[in-house]
Amino acid sequence: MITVEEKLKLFTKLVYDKIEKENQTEIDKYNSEYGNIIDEKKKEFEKQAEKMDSEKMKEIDKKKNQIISRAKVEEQKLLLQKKKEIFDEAVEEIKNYSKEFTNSEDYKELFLKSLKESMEDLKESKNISFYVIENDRDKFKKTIAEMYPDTNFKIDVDDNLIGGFTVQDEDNNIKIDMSLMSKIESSKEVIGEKLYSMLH
Amino acid sequence: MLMKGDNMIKEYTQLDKIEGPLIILSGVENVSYDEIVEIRTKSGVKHGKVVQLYKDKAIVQVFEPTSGLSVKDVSVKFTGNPLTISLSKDILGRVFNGIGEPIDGGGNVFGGVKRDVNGRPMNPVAREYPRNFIQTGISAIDCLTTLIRGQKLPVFSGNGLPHNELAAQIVKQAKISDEENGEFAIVFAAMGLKHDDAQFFLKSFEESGVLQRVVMFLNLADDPVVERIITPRCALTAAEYLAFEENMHILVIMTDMTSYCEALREISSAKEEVPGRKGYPGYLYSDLASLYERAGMMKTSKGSITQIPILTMPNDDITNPIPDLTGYITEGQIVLSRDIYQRNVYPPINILPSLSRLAKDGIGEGYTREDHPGLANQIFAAYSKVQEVKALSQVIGEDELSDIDKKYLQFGKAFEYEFLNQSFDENRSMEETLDLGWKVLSILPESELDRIDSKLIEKYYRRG
Repeated sequence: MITVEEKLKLFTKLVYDKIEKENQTEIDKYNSEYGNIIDEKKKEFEKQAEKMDSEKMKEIDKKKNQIISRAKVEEQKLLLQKKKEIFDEAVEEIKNYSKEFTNSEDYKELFLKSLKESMEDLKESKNISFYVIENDRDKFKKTIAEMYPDTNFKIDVDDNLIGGFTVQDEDNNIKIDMSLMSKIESSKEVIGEKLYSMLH
Repeated sequence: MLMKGDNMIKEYTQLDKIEGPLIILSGVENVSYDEIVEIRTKSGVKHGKVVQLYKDKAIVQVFEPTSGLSVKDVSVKFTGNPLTISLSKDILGRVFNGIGEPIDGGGNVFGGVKRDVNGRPMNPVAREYPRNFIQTGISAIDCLTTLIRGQKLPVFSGNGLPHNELAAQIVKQAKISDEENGEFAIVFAAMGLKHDDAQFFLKSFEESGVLQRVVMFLNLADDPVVERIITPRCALTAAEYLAFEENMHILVIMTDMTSYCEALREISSAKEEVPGRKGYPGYLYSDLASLYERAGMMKTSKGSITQIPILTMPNDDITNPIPDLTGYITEGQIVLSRDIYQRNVYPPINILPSLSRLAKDGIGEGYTREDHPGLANQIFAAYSKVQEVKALSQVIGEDELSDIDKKYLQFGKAFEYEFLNQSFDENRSMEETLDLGWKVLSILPESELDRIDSKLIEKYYRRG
């Protein structure tokens, strides 16, 4: 005979089994739902981490390039400045050498040759102005007067010329520059080329 | 008779007249057109060039301002040569002014060759048909108006639009295929540029590490207008030297061509020439052509010159003589739109009026990717449809649109905010750009894609 206790025990088991089964279904359902969400979130975060990682790498690369670039630009600037300094020094040396050259006999020869050349072009002119350096005024005044007795001329001083002269036809507004300064200025290209080819 | 080039050069000590940027003098001998002139004054040396000759009279255009210049107390020397600039590979990384004089404190360029800035016309028979592309890292350009080596592709912009940023971004990011990238350089010519813009360009090139491969010619807004006319010529001469003598691929960016044309108008008016449309000289077309036609490739050289002239359209008017005449000469255009810019999209490229006529010859299999031509066609078609749908939605309201039309609107938004829009520092590879194109195009149903091969749709369309 089945006792009340046994019946209760049986029912209890049945109820427990049923509830356990239902719970298990619920648990499985939640597991699958939230498990998926967790997986999705995990993937999403991994993607975000990768993206952040690559963005950071790009940022680092950018910064790296900026630093390298600045250094390279600075290096080039220094190199160019040094070359320019050397060039300016060389031109200054040539000017100094030219000043010394004005005391030589060769200079006198050059002066007179240039004078003949330029006066050939101004032979029609009657009023002429010469600009020479202080040293040359007395040195060449007499020579010029002897060479061109029919021409009215005056001689002024311009020490910026370094040497040589400029001659101006006052009637026709024409000037011819035979100064050493203008020769140096127009030779800067050649000086630069020779100097830079030695520096390379 | 004395010849120029001898030791002795005549100088003229009196002017007849000074008129704006022009000086007139008479009694000159052995002077030729386009010859460079040195004008010595008490305040220093100015330069100019002979622009007109009549009997013994010469009209000289002075590059620097003529204010303070007197008809006496000057000495004018005709050098016997046209304007030349010294060129060697050392010009890379250097900054010059509008007439090719170094302004970066690095001294003159020595040891190279001297070239006349007016250039030599390219023999049409020696020209090579442009092929292959230049990657700019900007999706709207790379995918839809692809820049081809040897092409001239102008940017039509407007005042206040970010064309300077676009130009800087192109300079920073432009590249050709990896195996040839070492032989790629950029010549940047700026005309009428404001000081802060000049600083912006210099800083962004320095920071992005591209200054070493850029040659800059800067004519600033307060520099004389005459200099502005020489600037693009100096830049193109440098580009020709690097491309055809050093076999490099050169991208020339010239901004702002409107400033150049306005300088031309000012000089023309000072010369009392008969004005044409909107006061520009009648020869504006041939003058612009003399610049733009210096782009291209030659059979005798491996190098190429690609040009991106940037111009601002006065009042955003595309029928203005400058964009109008430019459009006749160049091979397409990239148009910036104020509407798109106001929607906060950068770069605000309106793809519908934009076009690269040579793109078909440098994209697709073997150059970019097999799907590129079809994808670009389909995006153009779809974005065009977006405009129709937008117009319709303004009449009947967005809710009343059909499902497919709503998809088009969605595509339009994604196209502008995801595809067109990119940051100033964002450098997209061609692969990324094309993939992004497919991403936005995949908003539309497969059945709407009628300009792409079905095999390519199968391969690239994103389902689900």
